Amino acid sequence: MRPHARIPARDRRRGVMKDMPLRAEETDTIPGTPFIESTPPRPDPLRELYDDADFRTLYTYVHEQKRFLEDKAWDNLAHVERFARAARFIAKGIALEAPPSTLPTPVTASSPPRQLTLLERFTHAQQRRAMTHLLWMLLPVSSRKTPHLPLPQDIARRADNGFALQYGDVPCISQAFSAFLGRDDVLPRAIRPGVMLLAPRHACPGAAKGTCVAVVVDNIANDVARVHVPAGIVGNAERIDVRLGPDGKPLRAVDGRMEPITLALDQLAAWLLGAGPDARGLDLRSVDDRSLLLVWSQLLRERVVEGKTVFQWLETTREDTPRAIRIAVVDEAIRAAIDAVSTFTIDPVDTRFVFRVEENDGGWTQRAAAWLDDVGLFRDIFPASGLAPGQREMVWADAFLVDGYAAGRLSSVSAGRAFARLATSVLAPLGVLPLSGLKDGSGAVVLQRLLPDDDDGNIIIAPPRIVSFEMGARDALLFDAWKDSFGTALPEPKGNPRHDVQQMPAWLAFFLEAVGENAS
Amino acid sequence: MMQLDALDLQNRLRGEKPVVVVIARKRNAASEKAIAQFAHAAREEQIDAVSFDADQPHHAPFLDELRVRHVPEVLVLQRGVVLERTPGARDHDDARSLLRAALRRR
Repeated sequence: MRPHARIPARDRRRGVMKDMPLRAEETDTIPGTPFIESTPPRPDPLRELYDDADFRTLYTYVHEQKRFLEDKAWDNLAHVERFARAARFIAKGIALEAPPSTLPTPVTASSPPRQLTLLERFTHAQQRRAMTHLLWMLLPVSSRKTPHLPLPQDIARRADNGFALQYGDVPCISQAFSAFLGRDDVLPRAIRPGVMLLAPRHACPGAAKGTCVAVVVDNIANDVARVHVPAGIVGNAERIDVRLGPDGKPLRAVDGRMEPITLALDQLAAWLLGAGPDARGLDLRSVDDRSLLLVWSQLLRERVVEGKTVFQWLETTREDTPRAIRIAVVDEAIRAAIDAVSTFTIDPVDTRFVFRVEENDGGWTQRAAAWLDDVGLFRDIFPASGLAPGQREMVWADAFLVDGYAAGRLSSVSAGRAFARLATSVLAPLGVLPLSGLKDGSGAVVLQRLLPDDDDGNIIIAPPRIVSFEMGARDALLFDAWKDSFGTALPEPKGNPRHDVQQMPAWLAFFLEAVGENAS
Repeated sequence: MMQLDALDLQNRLRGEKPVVVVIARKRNAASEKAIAQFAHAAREEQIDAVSFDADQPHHAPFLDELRVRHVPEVLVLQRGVVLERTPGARDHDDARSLLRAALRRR
């Protein structure tokens, strides 16, 4: 066997992966090309896990039990018991069929050395992800509201390579999506009569929700907009044209007249373009951000609009592509970004067990809690607002998963921040402007979207949406969220970063260039 | 770990320097464990860590404002923005990993 092999020049030019196995016909020596040392292939962590006899036993058990539980969605105890058996097997190596309180096999002088458990042997993040996914499948139905999937196979295999980017991984987004943002008159074309915008609370404190108020522009003169609060936004039956105080009564000027609601255009622009106090884009030096970008790209390849994948549309769309298609493609890109964050990560709080355990009544909740206690890995948390007698809440996911997107565990705040970074890098150039850093610590992100209007060259501002990752991903109109008193603590734009929309075409080019430089 | 009241904490949260706030309860083992883990991790990351008693009645508005629902709950804040919130950590390494991720130091 040859001690080393060589990579043809064409593969070096296109950036072949370092650990890609060389094809037999390419191992011939070509005079003049440099030698590289051939290295033995690195073990694939997932393959190693899938080949393990204990993991196969667990896999078979989970799928058998899942079939058994299919028509027993009502039986929470059956789900918890099987979950606890599987978790105990992973953590302690106790047989899956063993009764509760079974101790691990004692080690004596004559016994063979204790075999390490699955949890001790498999510490790679992707291996832990695979085990956690199996556990997730046994959760009671109500705890499985938010999906948790392992990373797509092709991407998971790249974990050992630090999810290094390769050419073609990320769509080379066409400038047709951001060209309309690069015009000199983008703001005058966006902020015009009839447009609904967010504005600071002081514009009309009586109609405000938290830190802001929704207004519709009536007319603009000398860089000052006369606005009104539309009916129905904050429970008002009719539109509000004058400033109301916090008590709901009109505020009056010194001459006793009611004040109209007026705002400087700069203020409206600041609320439209505000990015939030903690705004930032993807950091391609980070494994988590690279893996997030790869998953988003993968989801784009799986979604289809008018017979082509969104990935293809993003690369090939031209200025004359129908507006409806361009809008549908961006819609799908937003949904893919939300799914990329929510579907492949688990929030330990969202998936916790909650029981109301009565004192020694032998009920199902008591037995379920006993099963979980038997695993010996899970932590109790308590309600902040006083002690609820008999209530137990147990967090389990962080016993198995390491923190981070690539590892599969994110809190709702981290998930929101990850989404905001992805949106800042790849959605903002498409006209979807994220605002993060809400003061309530929810991690929610507000999206304000600019859409091109091909007829007159104006820009349409879509009603703002809010995306949050508490108790599963939620994407709703901001004004609907206000009805539930959610999304009201928007950060004020003063002193914070803002989106420079006119520079979006250039920003997109820089970002794609950076992706190219990171690609191996 | 220093224990702060609501007013002191409000001032600290808006600072440039990140601060770890452990929402805790007295005589609660899980709270004490979280305090120990995050005090250690914060010291290693050279940031401040403070605890905040969830059971003081005058702390309720602050807890509502930040939508705190559990004890223990650990918040990492900087310039008034919540960078991370977690119901404690599995162990010391996990606590440190959470802090580093929140501060984007890895």
